[in-house]
Amino acid sequence: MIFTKDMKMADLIHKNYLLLSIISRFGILLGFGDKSVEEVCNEYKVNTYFFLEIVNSCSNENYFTDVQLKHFSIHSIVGYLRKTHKFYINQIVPEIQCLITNLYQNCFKQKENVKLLLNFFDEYKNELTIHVNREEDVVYPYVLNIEKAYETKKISDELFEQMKNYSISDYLNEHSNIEEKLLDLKNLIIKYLPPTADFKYRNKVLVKLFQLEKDVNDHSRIEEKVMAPKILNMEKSLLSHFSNDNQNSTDE
Amino acid sequence: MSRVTFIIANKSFIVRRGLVLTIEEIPKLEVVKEIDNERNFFRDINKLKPDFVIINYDFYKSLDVNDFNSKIERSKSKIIKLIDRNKDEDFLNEADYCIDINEAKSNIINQIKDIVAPLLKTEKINSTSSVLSNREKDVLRYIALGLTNQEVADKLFISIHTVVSHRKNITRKLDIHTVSGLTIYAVLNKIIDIKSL
Repeated sequence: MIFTKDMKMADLIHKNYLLLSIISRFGILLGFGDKSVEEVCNEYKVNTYFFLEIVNSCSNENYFTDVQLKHFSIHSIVGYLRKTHKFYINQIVPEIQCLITNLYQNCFKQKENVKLLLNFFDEYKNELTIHVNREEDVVYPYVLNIEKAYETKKISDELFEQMKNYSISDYLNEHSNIEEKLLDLKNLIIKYLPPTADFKYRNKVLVKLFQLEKDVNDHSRIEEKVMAPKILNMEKSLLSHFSNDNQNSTDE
Repeated sequence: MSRVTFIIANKSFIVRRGLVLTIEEIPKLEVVKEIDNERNFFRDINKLKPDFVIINYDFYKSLDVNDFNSKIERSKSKIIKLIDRNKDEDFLNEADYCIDINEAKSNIINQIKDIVAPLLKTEKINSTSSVLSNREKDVLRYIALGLTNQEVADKLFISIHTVVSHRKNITRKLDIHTVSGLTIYAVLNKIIDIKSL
């Protein structure tokens, strides 16, 4: 089902509780009574249409096939992507780490085995952090600069050189598959770690891993299906515009 | 082979979606692509090599059908004709697989199940050995200890290609894709001792 601005915000969560974390990412707090999506968004100064695109695309994998998100600036997309990074690093990853530690403390026979999982998750966390930092420090600033150049029709020599050397298509090629480790961890816990007396934390870890995996996939989809194609077009247009009259490119 | 794959060639979005939902209700069946126009039909079939292609008369007519069979030969795909018994009489030959679009849901599912049954049978025999062979365990042991493919090959007196193919099989069987994941599996299953790490 597709969510619209006139629906009650509460109904969104009733339909898909996974949207909870996304709604808080926009800074929207629970307790909105029977207000509509639009009313709540206005109250929190969130762009209603952008909000709807995000919640719809996270509720329906095929949603981007008739993309509306193309109408939103790279600026707002990057803003959202940055918030999801914060959610990973500050919230869900520490939560998972804490749950695996609990699992470790609550099992008697297999402490050594669970310790391995804890280390494995640490490795994942490092990989994720490197991935996040690279996007925050290199990719996002680059795409924001490209958007600015595209809008102002002005490009610095530096950016022009950078664009020739590093196109967003390189980003797509190197966009590393950090989901693999998550998948492995899920399988190790579901299939290969022998039964533990404690199922409570084991289940909780899994539920969180599934949540993180889905969120990471949604996040990559926005980057690959929306942000990158948009930047690719801008790059092309900048390249043809400034290659023709190269003198103007030294404006800045 | 773990799954039976389908391509659906049909111009109608609604028909395609309906077929996808119906097919994916049956375990181990997967639609790998929906094709909505004839332009890249043969290229897609030969690239993706699905087990079955479901095609209707309208779509079939729009193709260059001379040598239809030889054009898809490379894919080894089998054709299932989606027919409307009220009008597509001349589309059907006795020997073809077919699904009648007017049938009830349970009948359509049964027709599809009958068609894919031979493939699923052979698959059963292959998948009984999801445990690792002794040789695969040898390879896994060295991978878990951090050896490169070349080093594993030297240790076991096999070629590097054999190592790579063992690794592929290990990953497929266990559904574990990273070296550190494989290492943990090896410890949990006592293929290596945790102290040797």
